[in-house]
Amino acid sequence: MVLWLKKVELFEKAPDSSSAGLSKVGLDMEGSYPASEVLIRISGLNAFYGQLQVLYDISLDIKRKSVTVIMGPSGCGKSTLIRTLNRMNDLVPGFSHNGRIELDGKDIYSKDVDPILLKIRVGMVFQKPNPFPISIYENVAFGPRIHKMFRKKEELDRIVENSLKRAALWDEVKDRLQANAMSLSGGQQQRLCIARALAVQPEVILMDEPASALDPGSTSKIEELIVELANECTVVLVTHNMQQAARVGNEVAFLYKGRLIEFGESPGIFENPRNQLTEEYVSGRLT
Amino acid sequence: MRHADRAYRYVTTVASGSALLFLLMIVIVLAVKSYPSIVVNGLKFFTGITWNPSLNGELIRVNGVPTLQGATYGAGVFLFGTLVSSAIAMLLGVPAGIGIALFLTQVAPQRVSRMVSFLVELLAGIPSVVYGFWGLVVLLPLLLQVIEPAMASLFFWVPGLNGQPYGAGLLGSGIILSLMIVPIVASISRDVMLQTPLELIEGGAALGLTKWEITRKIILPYAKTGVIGAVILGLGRALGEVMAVALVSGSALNALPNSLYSPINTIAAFMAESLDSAFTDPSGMYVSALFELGLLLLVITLAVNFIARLLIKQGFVSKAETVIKV
Ligand SMILES: Nc1ncnc2c1ncn2[C@@H]1O[C@H](COP(=O)(O)OP(=O)(O)O)[C@@H](O)[C@H]1O
Ligand SMILES: [Mg+2]
Repeated sequence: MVLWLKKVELFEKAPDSSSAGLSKVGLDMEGSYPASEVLIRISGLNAFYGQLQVLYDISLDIKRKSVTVIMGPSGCGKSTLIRTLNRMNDLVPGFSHNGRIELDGKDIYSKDVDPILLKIRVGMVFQKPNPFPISIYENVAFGPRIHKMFRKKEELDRIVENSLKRAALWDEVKDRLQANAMSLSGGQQQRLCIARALAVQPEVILMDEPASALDPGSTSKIEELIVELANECTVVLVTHNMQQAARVGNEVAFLYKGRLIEFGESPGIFENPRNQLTEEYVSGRLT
Repeated sequence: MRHADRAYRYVTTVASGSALLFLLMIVIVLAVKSYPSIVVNGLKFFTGITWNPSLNGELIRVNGVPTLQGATYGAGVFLFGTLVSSAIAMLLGVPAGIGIALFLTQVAPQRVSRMVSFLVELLAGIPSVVYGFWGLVVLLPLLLQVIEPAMASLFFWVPGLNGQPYGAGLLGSGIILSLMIVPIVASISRDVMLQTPLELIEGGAALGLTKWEITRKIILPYAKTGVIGAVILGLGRALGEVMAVALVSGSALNALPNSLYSPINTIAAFMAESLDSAFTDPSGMYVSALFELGLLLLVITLAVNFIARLLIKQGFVSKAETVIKV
């Protein structure tokens, strides 16, 4: 598979002896990842917009096939943190960082990592649903087309169908795949964006407050979906909604004013927070 | 508040109504004034290339309309000059304008972009007579002595490109016009490209699109309608330009250009050039013929606008917008 080759390439460029990650990342879904539990390791991360420092010495391990939640009040640096994981911040003028972020033991900011290939492995869903103003089908097919991940139209059809099914949207749109994506409701648009991200078979899905612009019904659909997705890939979810963090998170990081205050398993972190600030946040006294 | 609202609606309605009224008035005046010419000259007006007012001719009547003995009015030379010089201008100016807009929005660092944008806006503000003077003293000598001879010898086997260098003529007019439309196309295209929602761009980037792919698959489809609008605006300017063209066209009369370098004339430039002598025609036919030229130019411009609207509404554009094929 072309995709598979690309993923291998991402690693082979580096003389890193880490044996992780290559066993099975092809197009079919029942891939099994190597034993090592940690997929993403953030260590000593500081981030800046120009002179303004917004992240301070963040160290955090993200486990494979689980939902890691980054929660914290608005403006604490959640988006900045999650956007360093797929190098979306490369686009932001004035952004700089130091520290290290490893994916499968490989520094993703090292020179020999292609940021394009990185984004195939680490997909992203945004706060505001952002489908392209084209058909539902073409939205999902966008990534596979760009990265030439299929040989025949039928293969593409299958990718589109699978992705829509995984995003729990297939039944609602299977009869109108050629309709414009903008005709969908907000919640459907967001699930379409998830399907679009899934279509390139990412190992990690980053979600930056994916439900904060949606109604409660759509929100709970997205939450179910997140839990479901963690069976197949690694989910990093940003939210400022503590209940949501508690509902879907396996591991929860509490970020406050750019610092990692506490990181632990759910529900422990909610029931017995070790830190005073976490305690205040989970009891709703800190905003 | 409600009074203010009513006044607001009233004022804006009157304003837009008066624009319509003004257009109508122009059309009526053009139609009435060109009527004698339409009656006497008929279809020959569009097909003929001889424009001879025969100012010393005797006053006669044709179909009851006064004219001068021997007068012939064929607008072919001006029609051809207008269309072809504008086409050349679009050919050169549109890619350049869009290219500049892409550079400004996608490639250049912010500081450079701001500076170049400012320069482009400045260019858009230069009066056309200045373009014309520049063309006269810089462009035409350059064409005559360097560019046209070089092209003629390079393309000695291509009819139309292997002619005698003239300087003032079709190529010069096309180039001057293209220089005038580049800032229009560039600055409007730049503005619409900048309006592409950041969410869409980030959505593309998150899927692993390169900068160029983002430009091609997301920004250009998004900006397409606006860019076409900019092109139409530029074309309108090129079709109706008087001063710059009058200075560099070579003011051809009664002869179609036989190469890219030959003198031409355009409808707008010729109208302005000949109004004085037209008033010396006691029959009034010359003036009427000039009004018919004006009517012709108006029709061409409206047709261009109409076609553009069709393109945007049904043709490629909206379809391309709903299905950006990867
Ligand atoms: N592009 C940017 N330029 C400058 N400052 C920014 C930019 N993006 C975010 N910030 C600042 O960085 C801090 C963290 O922002 P962000 O990561 O978006 O927080 P959160 O997602 O938790 O609300 C905020 O103070 C915000 O104002
Ligand atoms: Mg945020």
